[in-house]
Amino acid sequence: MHVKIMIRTLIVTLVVILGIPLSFVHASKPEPAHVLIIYDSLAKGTSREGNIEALQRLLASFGVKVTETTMDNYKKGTLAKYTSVIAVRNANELTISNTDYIQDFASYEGDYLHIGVQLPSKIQTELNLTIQNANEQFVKLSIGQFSEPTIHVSHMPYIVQAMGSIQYGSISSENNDMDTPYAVRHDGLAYVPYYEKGNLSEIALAYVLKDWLRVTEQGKTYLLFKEVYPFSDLPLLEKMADKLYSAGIPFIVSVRPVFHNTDYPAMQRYLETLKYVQSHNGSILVNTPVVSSTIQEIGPELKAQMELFVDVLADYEIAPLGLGAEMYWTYDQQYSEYGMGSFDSAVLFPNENIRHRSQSDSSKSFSSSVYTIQLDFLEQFEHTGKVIERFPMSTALVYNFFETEAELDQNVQAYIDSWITFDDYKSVPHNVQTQANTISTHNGMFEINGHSVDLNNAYRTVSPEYSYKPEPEKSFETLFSIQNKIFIVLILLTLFAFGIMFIIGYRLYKRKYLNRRR
Amino acid sequence: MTGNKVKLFSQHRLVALRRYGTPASFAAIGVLLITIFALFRPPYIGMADNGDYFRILYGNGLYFNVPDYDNQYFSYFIKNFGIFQYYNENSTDIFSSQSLFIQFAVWINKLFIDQKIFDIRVQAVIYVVLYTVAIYLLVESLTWKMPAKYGYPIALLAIFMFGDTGYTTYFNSFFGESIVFIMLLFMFASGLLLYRNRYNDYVMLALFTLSGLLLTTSKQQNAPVGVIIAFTGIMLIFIRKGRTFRILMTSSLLILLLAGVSTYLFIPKEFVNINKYHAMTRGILMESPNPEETLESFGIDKQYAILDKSIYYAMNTTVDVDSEILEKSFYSHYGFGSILKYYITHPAQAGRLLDLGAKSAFVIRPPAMGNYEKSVGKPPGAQTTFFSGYSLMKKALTPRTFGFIVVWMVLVIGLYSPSFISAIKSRNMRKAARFPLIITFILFGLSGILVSIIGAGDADMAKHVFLFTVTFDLVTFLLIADIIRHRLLRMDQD
Repeated sequence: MHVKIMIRTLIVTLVVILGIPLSFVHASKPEPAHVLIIYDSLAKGTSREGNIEALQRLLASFGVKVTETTMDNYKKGTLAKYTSVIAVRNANELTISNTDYIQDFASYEGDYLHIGVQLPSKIQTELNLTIQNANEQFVKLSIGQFSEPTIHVSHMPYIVQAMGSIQYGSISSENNDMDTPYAVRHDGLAYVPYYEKGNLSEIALAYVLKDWLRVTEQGKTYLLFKEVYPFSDLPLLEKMADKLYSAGIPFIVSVRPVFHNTDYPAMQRYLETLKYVQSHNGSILVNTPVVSSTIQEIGPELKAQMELFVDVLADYEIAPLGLGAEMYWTYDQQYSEYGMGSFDSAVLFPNENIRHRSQSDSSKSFSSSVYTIQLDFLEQFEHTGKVIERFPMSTALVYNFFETEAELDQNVQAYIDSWITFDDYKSVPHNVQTQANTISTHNGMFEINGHSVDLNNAYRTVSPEYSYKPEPEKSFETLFSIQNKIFIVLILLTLFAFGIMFIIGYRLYKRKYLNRRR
Repeated sequence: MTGNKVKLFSQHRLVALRRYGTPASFAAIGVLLITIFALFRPPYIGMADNGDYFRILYGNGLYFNVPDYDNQYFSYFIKNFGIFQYYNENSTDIFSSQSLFIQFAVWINKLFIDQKIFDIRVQAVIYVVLYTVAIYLLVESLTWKMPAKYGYPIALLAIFMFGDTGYTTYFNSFFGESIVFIMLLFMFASGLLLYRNRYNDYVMLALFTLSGLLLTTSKQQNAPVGVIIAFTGIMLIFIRKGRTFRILMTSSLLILLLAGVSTYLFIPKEFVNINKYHAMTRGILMESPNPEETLESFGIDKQYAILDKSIYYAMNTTVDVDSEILEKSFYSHYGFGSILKYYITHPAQAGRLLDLGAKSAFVIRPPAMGNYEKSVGKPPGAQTTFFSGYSLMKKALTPRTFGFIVVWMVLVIGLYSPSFISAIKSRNMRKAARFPLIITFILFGLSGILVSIIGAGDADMAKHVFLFTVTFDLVTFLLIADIIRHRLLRMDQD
């Protein structure tokens, strides 16, 4: 009887498995969450300027795909397409004039996170909140083990009372007339009254977002160096790899790509150094190139160039694991498709010099995406306990590569003293795919086209001998050289004959002239 | 007998033509009409921005107000720009005489057309008016007191060469080439008019000085122009015996020298990074047999050999030209002087680059920039062929090597030397002034090629060697005109 049941179950299971279309089996990788950000203003010229970009970077670090729109440009029916919506209200005075949004919001039932002022009454009621406003005050913000004692706020709403909600962090004022949670959440509804770039609130939001997005994965902390060029101080880079390796600190180097002269000795030396870095517990990322401000269509060429550089690295047994890019690249159709298409992992830096090609309101998401902060940003916070815990999202502490050895020594010592546990970037799965190569990490090991990379290759000294200008192919060389000699002789003979004739002519003329005078 | 009749008839017709206008006015009106037809009638033609406008535009109170401006670089001509309505924080770092013309055009635009939108055609109107006057003076300097049978063919030649839209489309752009072109014409014409003693010498002297000054200060690469003219123009001091004239002429040359030197002194500070980058990557490194050794001779890390032959605005690059790393370890190791010294000590490399320079020296219309507005519907970068016979012919027929330039120089110098020697022998300094003027213009042209190679390698050559392009045309025009009027080996008679 039991055997029969087992056989039936087995058959049914097999039928079910075989009945599933193959594509479905392949699509086992979960689709990234898709969030809509809707905001009223970029708050330029105010302390809130830049918070939209910071939010975009935070969401990217949770692997979320984002679409953004302003309240003015909101199109009817958009809200219904999303299950997660974040509204950012930066302007104190602005009221929503877009009636389509007001109507759609009234019937919206998905997850909703409100940041900033003017919390909708519907959300206020559902979260059972009482809110007041603080103006021109210094407050203390605490979250996790971090706190920032003096943040100047103006027109900041704060939560006086919240019933039955999960509370995050705290905000308190100097004169103790305010002691409230930083943010509250109840299932898919959350409210964060205050969010600015550059202070602790930039990080505090991540604690709320992680739960609101239902992310369970633990964030990691990496150490990353950028501004590494083929003409950086390569011996210093090797020295840094040595020191960090000895200190047991894994690190990432985001290296500038080279698209031309990849066979030059200078390039070979660059590659040798990168290989050395890789063998000393360093992970290599391909930094995005500097894009021209004048060329319109860069797509196919950018793709070819990025693949070329990845292939040059792979051929040299160097495994690039992802891309280092300014965040706006993910919001550009051409960059994300052609420049980032080969990579499934990225470290996103804040925007510095935006040069869009075809700007998109939707972002590209990555299966592994890392938030970046600078050490001085972290240093403005106080923290309890010696060890600095990991942030909710994967975060890289970013440095520009050092210029002097003294700077290097000082900073490496600071990492050792910092009580930050740095994670190894290659311990997380990464995949880079070009037409010629597949690069991946597997259990902390690099693999190129399925073969693990030998990290113990001896350092090769690159020979400076190189033929920069190949000799052009010459045909009929002997014939032409004989011809040249014949011509030279002929010309010399002609000149000689001409000279003789000239002298004779002159003498004849002179004689005739002298005869006449006589 | 019949042949003589035809000849007489045609001569009568030409003489009758004089009643309606001299060859000079005929040429000026011809060029004016063609230019109006090209620039001010739809589809309007002009030149697309190659990324250089920014420097001159913002400093002069204008801004890009077309929403997709960035997408139209190189591709399309844009005719409208915004005028700053509030305090403009962009001060002009680069002083250029071009700013005077832009400011004047903006003022007229505000007065008569629009307070907020600047139409670049207002600037083109100013240039076209000046240009017409310059053409008139140039043709007058050659056809004055000449029989009509010589005058009108010369006028036609002037229309053919200088009415070419390869030149005139520059007027609908913010490129400094417009000023260079017009001022070279004024200088050449006023020099020839002094030689011919056509108008009041003092007026011509003023015109010569002013145009020389505006030319020298129009672009940083024109700094040598002031220095050259200060030396080659010495002959002009002696064309009159009066003390006042000689003092004024000497002061004028000194002013031009000073303008040249001070424009040159600005170069080390304002030598734009893109050009400096190309001077090394597209100049010195490109032709070096061993870029690493070359870099080390400048005290630069040999790893920079990786930048060999790279073009900054080609597309995606390893490093930003304005980055700190280049400022510290690359640019700070070389300048105009050290590059010049390098070329002097490596003549073979210099020769190869001169050949590259010569390749672009006969192309009037830079091939990279489109001429039409986006609304016309032409593909990006499309160029006009309207009245471009001369530029197309020149591009197709001239042997584009430096050797040809040398042959041309030898020919011109050889042909004009006899008249110069006889003028010197007869102590007629005014008649001797033509030869130094031609030498001056040849040197202007050579300096154009040299400065562009030293200053930016072979990058953007067609635009950088514009000075040579124009001076070649002016001297060749004079040569052909002198052949037509039989004044090549002889000097003009008063």
